[in-house]
Amino acid sequence: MVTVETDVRRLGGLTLVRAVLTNDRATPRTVRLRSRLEGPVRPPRRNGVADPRWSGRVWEGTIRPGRRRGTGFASPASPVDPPLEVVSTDRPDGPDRSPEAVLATLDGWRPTDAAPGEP
Amino acid sequence: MIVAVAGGKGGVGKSTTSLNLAAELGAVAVDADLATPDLPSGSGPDLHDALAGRVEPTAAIRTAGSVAVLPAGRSLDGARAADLGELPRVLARIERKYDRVVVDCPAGLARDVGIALLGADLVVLVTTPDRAALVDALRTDELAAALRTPVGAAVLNRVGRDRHRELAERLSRRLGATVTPIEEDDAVADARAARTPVGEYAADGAAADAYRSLADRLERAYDRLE
Repeated sequence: MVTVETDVRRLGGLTLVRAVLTNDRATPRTVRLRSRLEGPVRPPRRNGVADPRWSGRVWEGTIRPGRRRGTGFASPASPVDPPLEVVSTDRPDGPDRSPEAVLATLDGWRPTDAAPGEP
Repeated sequence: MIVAVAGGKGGVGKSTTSLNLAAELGAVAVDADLATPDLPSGSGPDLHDALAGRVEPTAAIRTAGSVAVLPAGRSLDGARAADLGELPRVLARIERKYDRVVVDCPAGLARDVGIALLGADLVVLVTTPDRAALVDALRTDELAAALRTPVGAAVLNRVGRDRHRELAERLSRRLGATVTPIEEDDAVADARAARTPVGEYAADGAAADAYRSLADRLERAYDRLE
């Protein structure tokens, strides 16, 4: 699963939220996070460009197996606990399917007209 | 411990692997290939009856040589009437009494294979150096991953002496599991014809050693699951 550790600080009238996401699964995971703060999200900027993984209050990124990734944002709103919620965790090629769902996608089984024991 | 022996392609040696692995593990071999059963059968109740709830699964087990076998049954009506959804329950009942179960899976990648993989703790993939067999084995590996049943080991059947070593290594890296090559060996064919595990038929041969090492690897893989 993907675990999220968060750290919240107040600085200069802003709430600073940092998060570290850890993917301990054997396959990549695409994670969507949403800010729970009651105010706008100000994504980090690099060379004046806002982090494109933030869209409104939602962050989306893919974490490789066994890896950690950091993210964060600032907001004028007051801190809440937890500051972020996980909206979804999917395999990059689609939702993570349960074994039963996988089974349902397989062709049905029926014996052929050949007599049992014959090829 | 429930081990599913699967591979996708037919005729790559799944039943031979199942019988020999069951002999080495002291396991019950269950023939889950309802349409084209291959393990020794004889008369009496079979897997069809166990799936239908007509008999207690353990009451349908008999010994073929030194190996305990639950045969699939040879009637087409029985195969049609069988409810494969009951297979995991049947396997669990046998495991409770006998502790170790080896399931001989059908060929293909249809739901009958999926149910057997889902009901197992570990998968043994069986293939030959043939390209079509390798492709099917990798597809079976993907299905096992989607069903979250780990591949404990693989068998590369009918390899030539000192050939295919590179192939075995590549396959091992791709699967993340050890690959046991089994040489083309008259002892395997003769033992199979005599419906006897090769470990009894030619106990000091290379094939018998290979099945013993496969059984050891699976036991270690199973211990790591806990």
